[in-house]
Amino acid sequence: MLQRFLCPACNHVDLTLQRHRSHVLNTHCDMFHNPPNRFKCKHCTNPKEMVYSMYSRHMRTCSTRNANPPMLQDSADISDNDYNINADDEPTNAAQDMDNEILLRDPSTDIRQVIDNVKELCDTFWINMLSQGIICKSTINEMCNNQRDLVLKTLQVLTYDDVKYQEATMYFKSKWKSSSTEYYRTKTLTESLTFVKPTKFGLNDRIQIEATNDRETIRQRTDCMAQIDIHQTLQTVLQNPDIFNSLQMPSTFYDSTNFNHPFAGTRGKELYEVYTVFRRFTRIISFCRKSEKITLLFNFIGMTMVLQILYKLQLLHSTK
Amino acid sequence: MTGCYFRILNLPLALQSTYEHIFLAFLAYAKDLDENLQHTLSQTVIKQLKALESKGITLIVNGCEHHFPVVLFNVVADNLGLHGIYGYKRYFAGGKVCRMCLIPYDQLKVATRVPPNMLRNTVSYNDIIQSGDAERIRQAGLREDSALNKLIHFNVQDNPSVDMMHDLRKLFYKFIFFHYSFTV
Repeated sequence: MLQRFLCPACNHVDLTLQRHRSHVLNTHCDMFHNPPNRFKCKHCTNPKEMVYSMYSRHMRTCSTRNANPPMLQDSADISDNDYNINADDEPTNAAQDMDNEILLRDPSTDIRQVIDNVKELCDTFWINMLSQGIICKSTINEMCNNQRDLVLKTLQVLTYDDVKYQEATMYFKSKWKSSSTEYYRTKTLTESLTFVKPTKFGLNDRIQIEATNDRETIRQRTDCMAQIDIHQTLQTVLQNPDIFNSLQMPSTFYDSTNFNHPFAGTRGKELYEVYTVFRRFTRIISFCRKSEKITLLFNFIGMTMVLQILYKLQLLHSTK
Repeated sequence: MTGCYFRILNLPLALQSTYEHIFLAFLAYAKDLDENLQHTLSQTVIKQLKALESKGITLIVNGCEHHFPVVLFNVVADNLGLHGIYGYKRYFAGGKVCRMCLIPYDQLKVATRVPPNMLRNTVSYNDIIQSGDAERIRQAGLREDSALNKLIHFNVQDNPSVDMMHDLRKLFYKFIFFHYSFTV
């Protein structure tokens, strides 16, 4: 049976420990102002930062939405420790008999959450298979169809209650409707707001001779590279309100004694000075020409996006 | 393979260090890219960065419009990658191999201090590149003008970068450790 992890604050169910930690961090922790291995309650004014076990205990008394939450299920596997949570911090009081209760308590929400999580796992699996490039699409399609059949078969554990079973089946079909075939899966992915499509850029042309039993054919091939538009990527990421509100600007570090950020260095200060002078000058010119530009330009002050390019080289062991 | 990634320094440090917030700019076979690296860069990444420098980026968040200029802060790579993208020579066993000084290879291992006149600077770099003299360019440890110099707020000689692995962890830290452990 699949392991499930129940959030002590909101009863959100996750199938993996990694997803559970992500949920806790994203939903209940003030992530932008705390190191990831410390937790700070978002539902009360308690400013104390806690380790995971303390946080878990705190949420039982803090959250008004869950008066008596069950303990989380223990997991011995901490290999996916993305947030530096030690084994000692994990909850040790496992409650195996809670497994069924999680599913049975509130079918309209819990079952849907489980199906959502399974769907996310299936989608991640599909993208991982596609990105490897060594398995043909028809095989990947077969694997995805098989996964879908398995999930549908698993839902038969609910047949003791026709209403729940019908509801779960209907929800399952609605979720898998947009990913029934490879075509629909690709279409759903490309139409999602967070997808930035790579484009080809031709580098070199070369002549390739292809020989068969009957004849030799000379073909012209173009070596290409894949590029992703930086402007589009920036827009996609930064238009997320949470990320946008957490942005740090060079003006913050200009007179600061905090030296743990590149903006506190000479280059960061120089760029800030260049853009501040430039913007003041532009504002005066714009004011003379067109008064309505003032409002827009006023928003520029102290805000400069800075990129750092990471240029990596490594050898590819060709499989040819 | 050669990959070019970028990260946004305005993000909080907790997010910057995660893989989810390091973004791909391009990916190519190294042998395909090396043949005409500077031209390819100027047609792809540099072209985009120039547009971002001059026009900036407009974001619409919660119905409000915000406009930001986008500037390249620095380039991080290993020594070979940096020499390739900065237009220095890619041979490290002779000549002037350092990106910051003009001390020849055979004196680098014994030199303990760098005279100010041996430091590279933007004026001498531009002078050598613009002279077009192939022998002079080769003697200075250069190969070609970098496409990054086409950006308004970036010059490769003004923004030197070190190779964290080869220069610091495998060389400098090791030297410091052994030197002080034996001295003490």
